[in-house]
Amino acid sequence: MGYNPMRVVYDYFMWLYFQYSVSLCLPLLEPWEIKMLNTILVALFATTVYTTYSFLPPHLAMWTRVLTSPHDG
Amino acid sequence: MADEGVDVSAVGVPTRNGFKNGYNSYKNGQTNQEAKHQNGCSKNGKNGLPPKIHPKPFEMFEQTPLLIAVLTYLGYGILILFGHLHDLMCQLGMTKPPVATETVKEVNLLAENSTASIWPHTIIWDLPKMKAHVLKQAKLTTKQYGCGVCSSRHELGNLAIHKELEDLLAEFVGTEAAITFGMGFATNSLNMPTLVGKGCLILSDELNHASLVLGSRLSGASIRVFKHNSMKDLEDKLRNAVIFGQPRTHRPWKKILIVVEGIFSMEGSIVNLPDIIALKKKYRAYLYLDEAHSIGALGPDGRGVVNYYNCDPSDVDVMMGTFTKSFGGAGGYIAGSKKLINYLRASSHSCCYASSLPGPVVAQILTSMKIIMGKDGTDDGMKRICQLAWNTRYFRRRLHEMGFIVYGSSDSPVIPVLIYCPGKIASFSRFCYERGLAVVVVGFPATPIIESRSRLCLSAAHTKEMLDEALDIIQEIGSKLTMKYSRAPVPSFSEMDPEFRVRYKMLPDTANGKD
Repeated sequence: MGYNPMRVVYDYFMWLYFQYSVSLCLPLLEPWEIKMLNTILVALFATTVYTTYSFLPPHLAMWTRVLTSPHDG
Repeated sequence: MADEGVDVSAVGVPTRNGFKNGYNSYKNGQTNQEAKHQNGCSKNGKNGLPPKIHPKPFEMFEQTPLLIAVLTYLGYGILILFGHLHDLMCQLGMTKPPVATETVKEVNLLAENSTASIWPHTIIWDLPKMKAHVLKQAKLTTKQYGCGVCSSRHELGNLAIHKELEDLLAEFVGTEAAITFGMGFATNSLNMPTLVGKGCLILSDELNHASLVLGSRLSGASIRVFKHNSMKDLEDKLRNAVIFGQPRTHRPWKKILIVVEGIFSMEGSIVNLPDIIALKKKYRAYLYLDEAHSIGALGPDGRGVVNYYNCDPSDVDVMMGTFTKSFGGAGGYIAGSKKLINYLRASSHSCCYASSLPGPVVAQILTSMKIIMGKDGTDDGMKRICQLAWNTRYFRRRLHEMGFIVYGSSDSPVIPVLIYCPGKIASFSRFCYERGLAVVVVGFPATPIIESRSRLCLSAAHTKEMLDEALDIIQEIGSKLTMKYSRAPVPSFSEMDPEFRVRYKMLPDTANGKD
């Protein structure tokens, strides 16, 4: 067995997923419940990332403008 | 916790209790001079012999890491949510309620092969060697006394062999007399109401076993709970009880009974007996000591926590214990002064309503007790006691070094390893079982919600090889589940400590107590 970087990365992610699953009690749930919980969490995470990406820069820009030029409005 | 010693000479000043000088020095039973003698070493000190030295075991209760606590709550939250979802779906008829099915057809339960078994945690008999001897005794007794007498001690159930057991037991624990009962739980829950009642006060450790809690409640006495093994809290409560008396009427309490256990089964801690005896003497209270887990397991002679601390058995008013653990039998006992035992014999409910111990069980207890005492002519019992003490220190030290959070005292054979997350509890148990190690895991409500643990109990029948094998498995699973939470420095106790080896009369150069 040679050194395979892809394998190491894959193992690392598997380890992360395992830690996530034991910390949140996934081994005690039914398979469909695990899928449901994962879906909900991924959806929540994705929404957070998306909203951060799309709304935070304009929002920050606005506040910078407001704070740096007080006579504007 | 072990550091919370009570300085009796400092608080024993008579005027502190609000009495006038001279008058109260008699009432409190001691002047400053006497208080020095009564500081847990009275007998030898008065005779001019050197005062007794009480070993101070290392004890640690590491705090739950914050992140782990949050994750644990989150895990329980998720489980509760999905549990309710399941119930809802069952009600709507979308799924069927879960049905338990048998997955493993046959389980071979071999005490001598399991590496970390639960009961009996203290002295398991090496079956091939011991079986013949013990079985022969039990067979003979069955022929003589039958399987059971179906009658209580007050009626036809009083056998000669009971008397023999009680005499030997009194000799074993070092009291005047002893009495045996057919059930360990009932020994506590039915005898406490006989000893205390209305107008009495029970000061109970917060981690006392359910049988003691039930007994206290049944007795009708007032119950106050003190923090686990905290001498300061106990002294505060005792002092308040003595000063203020009963609520509203302010009459003095008829009796004050301190109820503690020798080894606490869930925390693995050993009671701070010398300090409790000092407090008990200072405030004229009574002491009820439950030695269910410690009898036969602690002390250089295996005679329980009193032997371990080198205390005087007559300082403990009521010594209770069970035969289920170290002696491999059934039932319980109470040992104490002749007066106490006669009173219990006449008035205890478990004496007149419960059937007495069956003959073969008594024979088993007698045989094992004789082996521990060395009355069988061999040093087998001594070897086992040494082996257990060695095992305990070795196993605990290795677990600490691996980085697990381990609760309790360095000399207690009950070893709780903290797991915390509910997902890890189930996984730990399953993974260990897959690798051939049966472990017992305990969660809420037997423990606080963020202190779920695995309780490993050691036995004298475990050899170093077995323990190493178990430790390897625990090491592997612990790394896999990232259970090594401990941030505290590794404690310094070890199975090679000279004073420890001297106490158990182990040879200084052997690696193992048995050799």
